[in-house]
Amino acid sequence: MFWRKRKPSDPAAEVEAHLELEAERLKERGLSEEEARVAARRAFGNVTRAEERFYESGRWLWWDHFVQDLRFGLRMLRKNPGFTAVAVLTLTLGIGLNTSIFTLFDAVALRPLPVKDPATVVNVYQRIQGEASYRSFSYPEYLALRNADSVLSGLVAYAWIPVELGGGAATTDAEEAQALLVSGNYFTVLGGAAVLGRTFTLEEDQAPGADPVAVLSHAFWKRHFDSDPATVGKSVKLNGIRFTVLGIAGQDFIGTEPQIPDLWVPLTMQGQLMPSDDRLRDRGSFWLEAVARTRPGVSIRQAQAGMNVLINRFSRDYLGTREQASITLTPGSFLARPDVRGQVDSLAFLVMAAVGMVLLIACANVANLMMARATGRQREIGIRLSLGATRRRLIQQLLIESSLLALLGGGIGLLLAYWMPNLLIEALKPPYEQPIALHLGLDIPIFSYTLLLSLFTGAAFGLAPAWQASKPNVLSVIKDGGSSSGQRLSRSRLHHVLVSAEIAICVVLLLGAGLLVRALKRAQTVNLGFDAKRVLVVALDLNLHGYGDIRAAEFHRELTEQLQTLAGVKSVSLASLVPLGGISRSAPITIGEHEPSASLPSLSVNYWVVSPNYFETLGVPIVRGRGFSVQDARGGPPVAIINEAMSRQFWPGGNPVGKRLRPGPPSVPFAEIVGVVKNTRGARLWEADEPYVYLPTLQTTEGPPVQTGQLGMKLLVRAETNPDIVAATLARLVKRLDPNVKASSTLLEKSVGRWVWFSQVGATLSSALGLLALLLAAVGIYGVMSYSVTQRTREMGIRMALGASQDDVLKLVVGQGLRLTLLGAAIGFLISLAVTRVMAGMLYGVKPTDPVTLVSVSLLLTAVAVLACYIPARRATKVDPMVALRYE
Amino acid sequence: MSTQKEKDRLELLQGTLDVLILRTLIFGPQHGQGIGRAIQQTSDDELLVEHGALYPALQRLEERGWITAEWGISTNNRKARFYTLTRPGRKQLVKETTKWRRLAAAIGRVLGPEAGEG
Repeated sequence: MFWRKRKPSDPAAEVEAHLELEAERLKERGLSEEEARVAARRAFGNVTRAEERFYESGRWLWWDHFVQDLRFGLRMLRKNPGFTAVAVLTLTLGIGLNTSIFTLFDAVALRPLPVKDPATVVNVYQRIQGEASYRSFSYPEYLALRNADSVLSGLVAYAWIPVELGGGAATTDAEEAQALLVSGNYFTVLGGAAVLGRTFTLEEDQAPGADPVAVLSHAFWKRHFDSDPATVGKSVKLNGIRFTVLGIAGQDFIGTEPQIPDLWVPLTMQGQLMPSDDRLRDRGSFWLEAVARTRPGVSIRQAQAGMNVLINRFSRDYLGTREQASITLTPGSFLARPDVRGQVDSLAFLVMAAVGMVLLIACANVANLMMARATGRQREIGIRLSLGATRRRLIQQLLIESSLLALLGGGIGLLLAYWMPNLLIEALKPPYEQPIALHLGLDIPIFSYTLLLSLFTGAAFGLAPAWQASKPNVLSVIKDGGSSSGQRLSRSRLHHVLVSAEIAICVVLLLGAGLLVRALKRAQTVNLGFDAKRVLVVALDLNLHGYGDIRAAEFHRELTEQLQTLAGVKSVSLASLVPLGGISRSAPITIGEHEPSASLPSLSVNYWVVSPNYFETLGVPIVRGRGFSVQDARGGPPVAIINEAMSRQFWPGGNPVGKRLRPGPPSVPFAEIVGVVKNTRGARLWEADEPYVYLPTLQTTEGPPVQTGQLGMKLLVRAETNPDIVAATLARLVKRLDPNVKASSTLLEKSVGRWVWFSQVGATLSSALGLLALLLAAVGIYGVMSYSVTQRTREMGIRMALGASQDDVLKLVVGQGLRLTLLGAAIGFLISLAVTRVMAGMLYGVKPTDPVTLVSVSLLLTAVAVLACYIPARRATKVDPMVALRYE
Repeated sequence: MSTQKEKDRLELLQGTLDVLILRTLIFGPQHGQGIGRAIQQTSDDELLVEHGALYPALQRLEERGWITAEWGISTNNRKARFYTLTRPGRKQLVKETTKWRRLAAAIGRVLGPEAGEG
């Protein structure tokens, strides 16, 4: 149809020709020239109509109308720069925020992994039945599972390891790098090809310590070797060991974690890089993350079932434990760990809901703006209606105008979304040092999201004003410009409804924010079970300088003695693991005298090897029995201390002191329980009531290696007053003992911060959003009250003429504003009851109806509302009654 | 811009006009004015067609491919756009004519013999 379109002038020419022919014919009949012409026209009918219809039938009218409306809309926007600016700014904020959050969520959770063929890649997690948290894998477990050939085409294991570049001989400027220990099939399974040289194969991962090779990441190669192509084959020293560079990875290959490793090294090199800690043979050391690729045609569920069978067989045969393990496979993504992912999903949902609400407030404000402006256009609309415009056409045109505004806002919002996610990540980064490689670019999904959101927004705030503006009360509008009170009343009602809605949403956000802030405070001051104040955690890198267990023990002893003489030091002790350190070690524990049987099971319990002062240094009270003594450390009958949770679990109601347990595999002798200590938080902040076994450090050479091996233990130093001074002194002492050794001290208190990062993010974000919402709502209140005062100028004038004082007028206006606020707040509180229930999981010990929060939010809102009403109210009082009465 | 009522009337007329136009063109190519005059004359001035109404109908028929059009010179040396019936147009004419005759016959049967025919 379209290609048949004739030139617009063609039909006109044809009509003209027709008229001439007809005139000719009539002239032949005897009419004069003039009469013939007139008669011809009459016979034709309405020429203009015919031409119009002709024209219309040959075109896509809807397109014509659309272009017309578009041009008109743009012109309208240009003519009102003030209005356009305010509206677009508000929308930019709303849409931009939304898109930013979506970008983040998309980059972290929705995108497929940046590996080859991501659809078949899965994350692998294991969980012990009865425990809520997920556990990493041990190396023997991994090897056993790797043979699950029937369902997987490859199982990859990896773990992060910080390494010192260089190292060995005294290098004061040793640089730190983050390396990733990976199984040999890492690159083949994930499909990462080397840009230079080659990557590992299983060959390089066979014998422990046999293949000191490394693959560099592209970024690291650029940074450290200046992108020198001759780097392949060169060697780099990691923790003092010489590694050969096998190849450079491609620029886009980053693996399965958002952080980019600097180098990849084979798993079998773990023992060399961490000399005190051979995890390859340790069945009880769970430190590996796993990722796998399913075989084609095998579903995730089938693969999961297959692996479940394997892991349980392994647990039974290899670990000798009775516990049931289960494997969970999730589709590959950066944040796939089921317990974390659930949290992330709900967090993302809440955040998006929150920014969505802010956007709604913005929409309400713009809608109010549009309605206010529409009253100025009543005349124009009235004339158009009376000339025959359909209501639908009018609404269409007004909607196009609002869509233009929304698209403009969305376009600029996209720019906002370009740098805001990076800003957010910088500000809210968890305490990792590694750069995160999230794909935060603006690409098709983001773009379409923004486009759809903008259009939806345009409809949201444009529909009500358009509907209202096109109400065909034509007569009154043309006569007196629509200032009849009837119209005004219904219009202001809509304004008021919108503002109340804004305030309701604002209240919900503020309450949510308030509760999260309170929860954060609670989490930060949670009872740890020990006193973390002024305690230093000192890590010594003895393992990098050739120390063995015996020399390490010597070093520790000397350092401890020297520290204890210092005035500023209250107590010093050693520990294999630090509370809130993030690492836990467990061993199969046998309760009682007997070998494991059905009635007395053996299971995995976390153990901590500590020096005698430990409980004193951390301020952990001893509830029963005694602590460790110096004799225990020197050798003697093996002893152990347990915590309350363990006591309750295995000797409920009884006294465990004097009972025996075996803290390890059968090679370890039975130990006598000599004391019970109060519960403390474990390796992670949420581990509050877990059973723990404490074993004394042994200064003899005989005994279980976990207790005699002091390499890698941390020092805990309680300072009397100022921990920083102690740290400095400690560094000096260490240097005096051995100039090569470095000591890094951190405050134990700081580690709490690491665990509350999540709450911190929640509290910060929601507070920011809540305040933004408050600002927008305040602007909304101001706008509506301002408008209302202008509309009611006459009324104010009459009141004042009849004797009302300025104060009365002030009270009137502010009172109206407060009434709106009250209504909105009431609705908001009701809604928030439901919302906070959803959030209850994140509210750490804070009731959803926390009165402190409720009261503070109410006060804040009232104060802001009064302020927002005050300025228009003042303006109302300045009205001169005489002028107002004449105002029309 | 046409309102809804006008559109309705137009559609009814278009159906009828279509078949009249096609019929007229059986006798050979003709321009718009000629077609209008022919319909009027052949119907003994019973059917008074607004000449203006012809053109949208002609446009539609042209779009459907039942007639083709070309600028030419009329009998008295004036420029005019001539319309010709196409083969599909012929077929359509037969179809429509049959329909119309059947409709007219059926109505006639219902109405019965003409009263006052003597």
